[in-house]
Amino acid sequence: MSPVATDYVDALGYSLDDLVVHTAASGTTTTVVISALINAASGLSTGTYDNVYVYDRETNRQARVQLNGYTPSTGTLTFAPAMALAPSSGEPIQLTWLFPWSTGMPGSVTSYLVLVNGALKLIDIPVQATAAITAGADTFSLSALWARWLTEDRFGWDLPPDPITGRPRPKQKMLEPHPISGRRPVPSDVARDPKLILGGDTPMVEVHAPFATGTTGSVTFNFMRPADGWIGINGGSFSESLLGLSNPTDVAYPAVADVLHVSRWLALRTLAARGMSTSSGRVTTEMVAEAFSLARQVPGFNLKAAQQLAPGQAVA
Amino acid sequence: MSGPIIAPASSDTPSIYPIMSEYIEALADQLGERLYSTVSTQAVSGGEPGRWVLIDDLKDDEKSRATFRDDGWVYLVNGAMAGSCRRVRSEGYEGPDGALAVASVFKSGSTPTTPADGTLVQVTRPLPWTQVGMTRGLAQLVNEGLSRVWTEARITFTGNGTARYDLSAYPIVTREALIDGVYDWAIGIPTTEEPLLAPYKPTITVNGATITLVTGYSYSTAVTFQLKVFVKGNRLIYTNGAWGFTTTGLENDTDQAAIPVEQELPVAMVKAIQYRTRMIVNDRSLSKDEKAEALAALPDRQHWARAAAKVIQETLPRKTSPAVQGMVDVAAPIPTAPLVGSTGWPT
Repeated sequence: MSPVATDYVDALGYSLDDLVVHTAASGTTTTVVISALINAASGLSTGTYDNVYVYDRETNRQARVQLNGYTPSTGTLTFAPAMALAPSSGEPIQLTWLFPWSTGMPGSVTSYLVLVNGALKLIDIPVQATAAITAGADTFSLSALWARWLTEDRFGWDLPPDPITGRPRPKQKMLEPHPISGRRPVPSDVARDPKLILGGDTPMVEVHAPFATGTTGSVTFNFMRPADGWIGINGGSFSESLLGLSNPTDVAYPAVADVLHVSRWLALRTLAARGMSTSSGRVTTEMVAEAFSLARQVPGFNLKAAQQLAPGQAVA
Repeated sequence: MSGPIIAPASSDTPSIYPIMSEYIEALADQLGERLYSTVSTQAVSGGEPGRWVLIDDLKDDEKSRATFRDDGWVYLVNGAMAGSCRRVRSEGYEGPDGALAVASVFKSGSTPTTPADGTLVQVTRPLPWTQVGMTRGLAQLVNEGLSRVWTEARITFTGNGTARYDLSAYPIVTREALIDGVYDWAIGIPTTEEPLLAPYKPTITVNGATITLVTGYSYSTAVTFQLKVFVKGNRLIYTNGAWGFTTTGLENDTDQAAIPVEQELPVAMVKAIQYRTRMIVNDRSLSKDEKAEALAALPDRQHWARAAAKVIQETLPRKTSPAVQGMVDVAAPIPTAPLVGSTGWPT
């Protein structure tokens, strides 16, 4: 089962030591009562949770704790802006200090979702596209939406060396129907010599040898594409997405650990670039470099795109 | 050495002579690899018509898709597309199903057609059964081998009352060196027996395009005699029920030639090794090391060259001395009258 957005955000939040999840006891559209925050000791600061981001995982609403918005004796946090839905008893309430769940919070541009989507954008995942065979035709049209990310170096999958000779093998770009229906398609790169045609509104693949009369079925093309554009909305089947992950239960393809390495690097370089007035922890350039060395080892990591990021930029 | 008798008295039993597929099989076996099998009863149910051939004998779950890379060939022995030969395309082998994808679809007429279940196939490597595109086939190399080995034949004539006989039907006989005497039954030998060498020395006269055999003796009408000729192995072919001279050599799998396989094979092997060497040297897709490796893997050229030289030497035309037969006194005067009865047959 593919990871959901919350899985990625949790991994990053815990990694940055920035995430706490509590359970709401009750709430209004501007407050939430959390039993775990009750502290009867005297002299406690009401500003302990100033500017902390509050996110109700159940209703997908977020806000920010007001100055002196903490009442220790009741465990109440007072936040703004008001949530459209008040937190109810039993709902998980997420508190973060460095980044909000998503954008739109006053005083913050970068959010956890932005960081995770930025990481997904830097990780290329293998996808296949099928196109119905028309006998005699020597071009196959691809989705016009693919023009925004499709490049020649993303056409085809890398293969391991030949198991017998040990020699490197060229990318596998195209497959055609197996002679026995129902079986996996077979490679046909050498026979068809597929070439990617870019430049127009609709990307195309041109083949050297068209299919003979009477051929049925589909060809399959292999691509590497940024993971942020191939999303299962609310756990549904994967489809083209222009927004990346946007709901807590949206699913993406890469493993959580891979996204964590890249998103952590993005988070640290964002924090390192922050000014004095914003929460930034204590991020050094060495920490950013170390995170990058881990990020570049992630399978499918698009080093070229990563190197084009501006300092502090979290999204390619 | 006795050769086939040419029509109209084509009496030699053809079964003692090899058919073309026997020559090719021997060459393919020595040169590389060959599989004679049938198309599987498991039907092709997907993919491109005419692209795939399923052969149960090729099933192997472990072999690489590139097993037949650029050097495997499929030849259809029978069926509607008999005689078609195709190259196995790169990565065109699916081991678990014994499936071969060919580089150009098989066609029945102009319709791409998958070979039917049970069709006999010959899978060869590194050369095709017969010529495909610019790639020479084993059949062509067999004919090359035959063309360098001599054999002999008897051409049957019926007397016309003269000593002159038109040879225009036998363009292979162009000079005297290629004939080796006239054989007849003129000294009382029953025609059920082998004819004997006649004492008259036949000659060839050439007058422009007209070539004439001069027997040295006037054979009566209805009397038959035979002219022994030397002929290259690829010119004397049994096809469509009769021996004959041809300029095209063996063409069909069941055509026959008069050269034993063991004589033809060394010569064909030499030609095949020469051809393969040229192919490897000229192959731009191979690196220097790969070429060296491929050349080293060829059969031992010197071994086959020695064997071929011996065959060629042994089969060179050698004229028969009349004394060998021991039944004709070569010192005796050439008779002025036929040694036959009034019917024209030996008495």
